[in-house]
Amino acid sequence: MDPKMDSGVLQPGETLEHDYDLQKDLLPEEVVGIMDQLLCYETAWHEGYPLSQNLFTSVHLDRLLWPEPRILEEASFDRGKPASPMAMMNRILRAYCLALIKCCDRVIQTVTSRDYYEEEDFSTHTYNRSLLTQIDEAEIQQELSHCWEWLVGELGTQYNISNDLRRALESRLGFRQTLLSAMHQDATEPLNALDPLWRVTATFLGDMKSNHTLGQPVPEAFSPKLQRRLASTVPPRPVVEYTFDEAIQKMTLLCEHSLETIQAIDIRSSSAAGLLSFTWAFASHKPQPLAYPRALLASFIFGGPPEAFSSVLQRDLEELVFTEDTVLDPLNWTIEMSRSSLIPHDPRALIAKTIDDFLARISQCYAYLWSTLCQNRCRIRRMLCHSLREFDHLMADAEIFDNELHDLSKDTLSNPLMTWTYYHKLRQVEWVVQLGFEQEIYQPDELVGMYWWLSQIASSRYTVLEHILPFTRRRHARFAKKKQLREASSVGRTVDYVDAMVKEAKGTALLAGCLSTLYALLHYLKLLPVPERPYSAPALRYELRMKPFLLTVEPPTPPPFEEYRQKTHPLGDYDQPSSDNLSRSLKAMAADADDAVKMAKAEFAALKKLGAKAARCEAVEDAWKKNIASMLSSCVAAGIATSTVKAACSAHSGISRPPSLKVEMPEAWKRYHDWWVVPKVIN
Amino acid sequence: MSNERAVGYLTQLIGKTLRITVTDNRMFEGQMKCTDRDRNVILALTHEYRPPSEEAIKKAIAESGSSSVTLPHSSRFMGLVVVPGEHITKIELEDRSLNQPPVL
Repeated sequence: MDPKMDSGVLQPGETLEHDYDLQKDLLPEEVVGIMDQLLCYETAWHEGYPLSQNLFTSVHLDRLLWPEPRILEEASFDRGKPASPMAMMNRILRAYCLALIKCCDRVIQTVTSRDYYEEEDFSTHTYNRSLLTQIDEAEIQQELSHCWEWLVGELGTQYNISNDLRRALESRLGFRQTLLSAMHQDATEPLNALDPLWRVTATFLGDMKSNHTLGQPVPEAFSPKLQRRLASTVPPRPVVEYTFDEAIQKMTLLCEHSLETIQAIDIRSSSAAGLLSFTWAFASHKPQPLAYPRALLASFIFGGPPEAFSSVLQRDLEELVFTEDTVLDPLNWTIEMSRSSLIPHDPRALIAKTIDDFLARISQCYAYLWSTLCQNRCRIRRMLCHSLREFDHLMADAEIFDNELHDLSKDTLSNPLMTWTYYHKLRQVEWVVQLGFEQEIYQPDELVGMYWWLSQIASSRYTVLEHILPFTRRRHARFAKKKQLREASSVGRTVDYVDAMVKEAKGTALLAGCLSTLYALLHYLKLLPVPERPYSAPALRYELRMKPFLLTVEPPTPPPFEEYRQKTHPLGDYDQPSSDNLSRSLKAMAADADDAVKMAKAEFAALKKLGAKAARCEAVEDAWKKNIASMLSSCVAAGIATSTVKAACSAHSGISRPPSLKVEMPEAWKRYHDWWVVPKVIN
Repeated sequence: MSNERAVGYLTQLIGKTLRITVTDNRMFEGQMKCTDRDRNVILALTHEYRPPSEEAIKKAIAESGSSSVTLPHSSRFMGLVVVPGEHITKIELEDRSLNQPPVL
């Protein structure tokens, strides 16, 4: 029999049962030791390892969970034995374990209620064991408070344990109590209660860290053998070990991230663009938020009554194309369609119907976009590739709706719905490319093309925004003239927002253009290594890279390969440039790149001046500022690189390689900004 | 038995519940899905049953004081498994007719 193929096979002399006595009275030190080990295993589970390789190796948890307890009293360490009063230390450990199991149950419920990827994010497999799902949380809380009261009360003080140990046990019980309460809240409950819970949980973790050394590890209380009794054909696998410090650090981060997600509820009801910037800031945390906080965020975005999420979509339209527009006037929805064919419909009722039809058409794609942003970082990029195609297909429909609207409402931006859809599509294309840089999808010699493509997209985006801006400005002036202050300030915010987005898009286009030119230049100077690719053709590689965008039907679609090649090879083949006066052409390219980076820097600086509020990022102002600062640093670094190359080109006439130049590509973690791969050119 | 009859016999076992004992005395009970010339058997919805170890029996006898004690087999659900033919010591077919009233 092969132990690798058969999870049930026993080695000669090996027994199925562990030889740990669960009825033995535990010392307080041992209880602390077991609790801390359990926390390490819980962390491993949150990090994505299956329960079999961590928590389910605990003899205590195994006894509590199998056979499945129907009532809480059945979940005890001395099952099937005549009931005898349990030693208090064992009882404390039992309460801790019960709460731990209930926390796990809650985590699984939260994660599975949202989109997640079992093989990438989180293992929800419980091996046919129910994690006390049937048992009420209040009962477990009661058991915890009972132990807590005993510990701090008179009885506990008579018990022979030191004050330090008592405090260690207190903080562990307190941690479980607050964590369990925090995990049991949902979006329907008053949130001011949730906020302090996560904070207190994090403080308990700090206490636990300081008195961890008081505990005494009990390795016998954990056995990988227990995996043999789980409903699984997988043979026992090695147990995943985390150190206690790591566990505390990761769990503290989990609390902080969970705490942060609560803000989403307030932001959701105030601004769609704000929610978007918040979600991006959350997803960009390093280390990346774990599956549980991400699911929590998704449940806050989508949770609550169904109209709560659909109002986000409506607000999104309002913030970009319909600010203070009669199209979204709530009054429109109060007017009935005429029932007689002789009386024409009220145009306002028709507007409401058109908008409702459009919202119904788009709501699924829109929800998909948001659930994409709650995934892990790599998933976000891959799912955006699908999402952008959905938005692409929507554009044709949006045009039809726009034509209907055009006849109904005169004072409205031309093609508002198509503009909105197009804008969202372009942003997603940009994100896909930029996440590609972040995740090092592209080889150094592909950067010329990808930055060129990014600059194309960003230019299209600011063209769209510049279509919105004059109209919004006119509307703002009109309201201001009429002294309609509320309307004027609301349109004024949109003007600021669109203006900020224009600056951001322009800066992105310019910096991307600069980097594309700079990389092309470095190729002509033969400073970048090009790997040998005997089995692939440039045209096919181009098709592969552009695949997510080639399938879109609306412009901008990637150009045919010849055109792309011509754009990225302005002076012909990198090995044999076909320019009459090569050194002059190279100089001109360097000057172009230099100009572009200067302008990009000016745009980003202007954006910084407009401030986070204008960009509707006030909720994540710090992250926003940091992001702008990193983009500005990238501009500075790009500026240094271009001017070094420019100087070298001027000093050196002729095509031979300027001897003193050397190029270093920065590693992903050394970049100023994840999305900007700026080479370091050393003279 | 001719090849044709053998195939016919094995075919009618498909979907029936089998109990297969292997060399270390464990039993696997599940629906037969297929078999091959090496007597490997694939069972679906399988449960694994393990007889109590000798030590556990000794301990139980010592505790109860009488020589006839009942100890349960420990069992777990496993799902789809392949039982290698070389380890099989016994194959039993569940006879539903004893437990259930005949269908009229």
